[in-house]
Amino acid sequence: MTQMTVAPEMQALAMAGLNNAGQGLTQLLGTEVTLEVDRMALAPVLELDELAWAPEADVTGIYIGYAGDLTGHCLLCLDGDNPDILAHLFLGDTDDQELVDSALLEAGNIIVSWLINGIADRGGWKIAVTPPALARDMLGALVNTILAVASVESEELLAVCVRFKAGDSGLTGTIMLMPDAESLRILSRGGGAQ
Amino acid sequence: MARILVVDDARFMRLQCTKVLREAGHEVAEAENGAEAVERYEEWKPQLVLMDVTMPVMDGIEAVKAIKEKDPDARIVMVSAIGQQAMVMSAIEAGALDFVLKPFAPQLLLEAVNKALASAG
Repeated sequence: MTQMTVAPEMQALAMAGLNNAGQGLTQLLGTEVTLEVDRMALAPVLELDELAWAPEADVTGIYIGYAGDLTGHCLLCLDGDNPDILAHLFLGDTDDQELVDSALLEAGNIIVSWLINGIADRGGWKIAVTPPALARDMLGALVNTILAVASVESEELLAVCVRFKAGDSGLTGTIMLMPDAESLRILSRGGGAQ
Repeated sequence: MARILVVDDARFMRLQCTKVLREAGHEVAEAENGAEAVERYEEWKPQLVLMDVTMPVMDGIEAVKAIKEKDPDARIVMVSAIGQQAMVMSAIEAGALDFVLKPFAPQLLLEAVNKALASAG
């Protein structure tokens, strides 16, 4: 994959968002959450599907777009038993699948919103998020769906992939953050857009 | 006891809020988006609205403006995860009294509810 250097200003903004998301997750789950940057890459959008590190893995994906001073896409991926672990943390035992999906969507909303809040507050921006959407599919299919939309808008995407672990709960997941080309230019200046 | 309208597109979150409020003795109605909230407000005349920001059809900030236009004394508290400084300012400028950041402890929600109910709107 043709990777480019991620500017320190971009890395700092991404980390501000991710640290904030970690705090949000910790509050949400009531257990200390550690975030570990798995990959941070800037690459041509058509090559970014290689970031789907296990493209055939079945995942529950929660997609949230964001717009305003920055625009882009965010995907929270939960593979294996992780959707069940997260739902159980909120709801205990339940057969109400609609309620489980609602809890997963809200968890995604909180995690991504805190991430965006961290970036917005650090950069002095206002960024709105879309209501979350949930899909169960192979990881590669979910990522390619986002890339198909993103490639219309941008030739380059910054993809930040972060694995997280939630204390002793056994919960792990991945967050992928992908700002569009104009947002990349703003991010490379390191904030203070207003 | 007060009549409180809970507005959130997530059923899970409406259930969480409703449970906390009913256990505190309040009467609760629900709406799934901002447009539904505006309609429900006119029908039910709640004493307080708890309003999410990010919702389909009509978002929470627009719904606050619409409700305040019809009833300048409406008491509205935002309950949202999108708590960045600029968004909180937009909500307050639109007429919200307070902003509770999700995820919230039940006690924090009740404190915001009590404070809003004690205010003039």
